[in-house]
Amino acid sequence: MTQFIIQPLESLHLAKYSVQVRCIVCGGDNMYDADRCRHCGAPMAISTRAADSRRELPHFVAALGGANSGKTTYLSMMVDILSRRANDPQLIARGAFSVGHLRDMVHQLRHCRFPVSTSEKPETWNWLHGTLRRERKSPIDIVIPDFGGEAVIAEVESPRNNAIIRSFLRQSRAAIIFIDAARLAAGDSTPDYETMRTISYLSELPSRSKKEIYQSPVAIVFTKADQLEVAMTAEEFAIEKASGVIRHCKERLRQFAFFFASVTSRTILEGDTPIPLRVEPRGIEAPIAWLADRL
Amino acid sequence: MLLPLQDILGAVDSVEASMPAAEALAATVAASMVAGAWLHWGGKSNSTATDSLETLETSTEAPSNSLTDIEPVGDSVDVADRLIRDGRAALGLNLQFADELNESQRQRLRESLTRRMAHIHPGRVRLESWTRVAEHDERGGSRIESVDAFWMDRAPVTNQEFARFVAAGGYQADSPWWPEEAKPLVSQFVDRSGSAGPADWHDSQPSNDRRNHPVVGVSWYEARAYATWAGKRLPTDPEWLKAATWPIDSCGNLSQRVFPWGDQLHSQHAHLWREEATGPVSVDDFATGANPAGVRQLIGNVWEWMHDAFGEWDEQLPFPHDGSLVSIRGGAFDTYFQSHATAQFFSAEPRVERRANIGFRCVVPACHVNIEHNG
Repeated sequence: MTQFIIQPLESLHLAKYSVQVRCIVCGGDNMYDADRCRHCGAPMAISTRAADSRRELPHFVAALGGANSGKTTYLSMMVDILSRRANDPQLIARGAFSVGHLRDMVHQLRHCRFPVSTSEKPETWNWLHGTLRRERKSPIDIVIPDFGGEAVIAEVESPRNNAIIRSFLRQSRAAIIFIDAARLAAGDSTPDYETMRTISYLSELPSRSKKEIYQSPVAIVFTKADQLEVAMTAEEFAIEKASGVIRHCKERLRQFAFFFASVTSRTILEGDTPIPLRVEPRGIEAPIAWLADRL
Repeated sequence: MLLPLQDILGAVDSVEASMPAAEALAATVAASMVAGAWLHWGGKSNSTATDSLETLETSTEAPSNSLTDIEPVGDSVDVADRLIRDGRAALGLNLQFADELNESQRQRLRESLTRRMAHIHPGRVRLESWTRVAEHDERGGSRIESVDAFWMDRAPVTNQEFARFVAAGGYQADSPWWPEEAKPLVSQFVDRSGSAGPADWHDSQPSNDRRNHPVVGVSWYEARAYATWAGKRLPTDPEWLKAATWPIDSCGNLSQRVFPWGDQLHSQHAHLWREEATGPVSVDDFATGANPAGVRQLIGNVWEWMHDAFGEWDEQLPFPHDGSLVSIRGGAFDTYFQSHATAQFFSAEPRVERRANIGFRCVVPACHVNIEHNG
């Protein structure tokens, strides 16, 4: 006796699995349904959107700085502010991962807590992906990963230590370097040295230029500026407190500018944990607006 | 701590010799406030208030502290008019001197005071802890305080009002409005030109287009000195919250507002962050955000210095507080989150900080001034 059964057709799925999707960050191949690249941890939505779209590939913007330099707090605030603006520059977040990340980080600040420091593990890094609308220019897609600060410094100090960061930086069209202004003001020169090394690293990345000069625009952001007791411009502060950075910028960067930024206005220590007593963002839009004009 | 009257008078003897009579008179009041008398007098305990009243009333025995001395020789300006012009009607109506004015003068002072200040009824108010209002942790508690009736400035003190204080020599370190610990600091409270005054002024003058804006760039000490000079003081946290949350005490239940106008925030009510931080605006703006008594801009435009140390009313504060920080309330033009601009939210700053988004307003306890409230 013949028995009829329903057999699902799996050939379509099998066909999809046979075609690998290339990660636009590291170039590694992934299954079509991978959430994150199995090689570098970047969200695959960035690559699939780039593949589906006929627009140009997203612009990679590197966010660099040592641990606790304020990258995560700044980036969260920047995306939140730019997402709510009625005038350019505006940022429209792409992908659930960008929106989810934003919601979590802003939630922390609203509850008077700083976001947790980004770890060294690539799978925990947050990736901001959005469309940046610019004054008098066409919109562009940008990708800004929030690398762990220790991983950045490890790669800068030992190049090729971290393939993901190196691959991203080689493709970056712009960079933001974060420096803890409060530490500099307190006489700690560590951020000055770390930034000098970072600038050297950028300038030594392979490029078409024969000179070791990084061609892309670099915004150097002095974070935690609310803790400074000085009335001076960011350039004057750099000359006063980060003379090594100034020299490196002049010799190794083609385009650069200094900015002050702060997200909170007063912090207090609960044990070793800094607690923001209120959120009053200052100077958040200026660096990305400056970069947007040059992308 | 209350000082004996003779000590209070002794503290101002040295400055009286070099000051106009009105300032000498105010100095007596100032010294009593420096000693903490006014806070206790109008604030927390009726028995203390009575004691303080008796103590201060005796001071009118001193001839140099008589109100008749206020009117300077050769100055045709009436003493009441002068006090009104300088925004010091509360000083003239102080119970210590009000009997020395004639009824016409007292009436003009009352009209001036009620134009600039609103009466806040006595009653209970709930103060929520930092854990509850900032960290949104329901485990954070609250406490209920009783507040005596008081008068509160309808708007933050403006640059124009503060300029009177500066012009009257308010930044002289030996004047009695400065507490002892602030006197070494007074010379550092300078403007952009190095002259005495708020941080954003020039040559001891505000810019003309900001005369009606709240004065900012003043430390807690400067705010306190102005308040003392004007015959007032800074509000305590419970007083400020009483005005801002407008509690309804019914059958033992205390119902309070989130904002002075109600429970929902709309952009026309308060000057807060909107796309970007734009700076302070006139104290006459955002009138729809007033509380039922007509006190404007309790929320937004500029933070306001409180009288109290940060955490003084919060036993659950999760971090150490040694009194070096002072409570600020109300949010400012650059306050990003709505939840940081509710009446219950509070933040803090060191007493010497001179921020561009912190101003102040003053209060005077109702039992301090010769004025009946019929509302």
